[in-house]
Amino acid sequence: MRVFFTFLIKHHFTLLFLVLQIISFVFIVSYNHSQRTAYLNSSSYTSGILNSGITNIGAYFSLAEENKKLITENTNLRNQFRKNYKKIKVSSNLVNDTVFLQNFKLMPAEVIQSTVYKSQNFITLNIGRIQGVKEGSGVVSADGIIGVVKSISNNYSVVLPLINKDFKVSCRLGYSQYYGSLLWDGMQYNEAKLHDIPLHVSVHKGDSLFTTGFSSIYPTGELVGFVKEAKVKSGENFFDITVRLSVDFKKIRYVYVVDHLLKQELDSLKIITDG
Amino acid sequence: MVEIVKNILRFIVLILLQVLVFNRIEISEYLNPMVIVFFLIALPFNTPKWLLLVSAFALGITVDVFMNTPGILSFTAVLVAYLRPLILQFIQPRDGYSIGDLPRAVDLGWSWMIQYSFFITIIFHLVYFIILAYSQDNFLVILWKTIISSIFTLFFVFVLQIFSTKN
Repeated sequence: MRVFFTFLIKHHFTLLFLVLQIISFVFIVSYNHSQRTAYLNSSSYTSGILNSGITNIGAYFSLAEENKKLITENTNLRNQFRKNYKKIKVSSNLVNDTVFLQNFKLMPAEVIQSTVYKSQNFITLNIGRIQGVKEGSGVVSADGIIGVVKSISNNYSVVLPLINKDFKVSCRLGYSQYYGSLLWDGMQYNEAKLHDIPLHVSVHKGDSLFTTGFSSIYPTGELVGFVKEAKVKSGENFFDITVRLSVDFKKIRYVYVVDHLLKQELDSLKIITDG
Repeated sequence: MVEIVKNILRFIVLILLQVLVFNRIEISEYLNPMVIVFFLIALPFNTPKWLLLVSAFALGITVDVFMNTPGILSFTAVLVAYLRPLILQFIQPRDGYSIGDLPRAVDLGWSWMIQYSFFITIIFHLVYFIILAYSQDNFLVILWKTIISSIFTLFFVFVLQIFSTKN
């Protein structure tokens, strides 16, 4: 026993070093590379308050531009509404008394903190559990999809944005209707890579990309970005497609959290099918 | 006693600067200066070894919480704290460190200070960016990130050195 204690005291520096490194390593593995609830993050109470305080100061300087953006968005939405209304009136085929079941519900939120130049970018929103945000909900903006809610606290939530290496979403090409998965390569905040598009598909520069809706996180057909470049690497069966993202992550301010109302039903059905 | 208070204050001020100012510098993906490394640089020579490690861990994990990267900075900081005695030994002046000296330019001269901060800062950034990248970045990108962020951090450290005076 005495030998053991002498050993402990003699090597306490290295032993303590190893213990602390193991603790850090466990943190790294269990929190950083998964979408599970993380307690140690910027949605926590103190860091949330600090961040929103600082952001509020900055908010005054961009009010004019944000107002303009909101007006444009409102106009777009109103236009859409009128268009829909007309169509239904004109169509005579709608004989059955169709009740449209609402599938997705949007909640407005404000970005109180965001990064674009880190390898692990995150966005913090000013709404959380109390306001009805759920973990795993999608986040969209007027320009396109933003990301997915990673963790929530009572009044704040942290979003894993498209420009985080842990993020993955399946997208469909507007022209050919082929789909692949979109991943960020960690370099520029306005570009990402589309994978798994086979070489026989015709890919055009400027073609738009939409969400597939497979993941039941986003509504089908939300804009994601545009094809910037499609390269063929020798010896590979898939295109190397660079996508220009439709959202400017440096400017985002007002976003919507998407609540999938029928998610539970869909998920339970999937479970039954999977056995 | 004064030295302890000074270090605690430095701990708090550096974390606030890091979180509220330097983490918000969004100019390039290559520039993520970690100025908290100055806390590890400035700890007195006679700091107990266990305290060196524990304070490094506390420093890292606190900033990690704000950056949503639990474990990454604490791992880096503890590793650098562990290497610090070795680095100090490696760049030791010919007649050793005299009692009452602090690791700063006014006590040990600029050439020593530049070497010392250079080693600590470069190692810190290199380890940090390697862990962050987890195999997706190529090594050249990591190297560039390290160089650019380190230059910025070293500039910060040296500016602080100019203003530090002998009591």
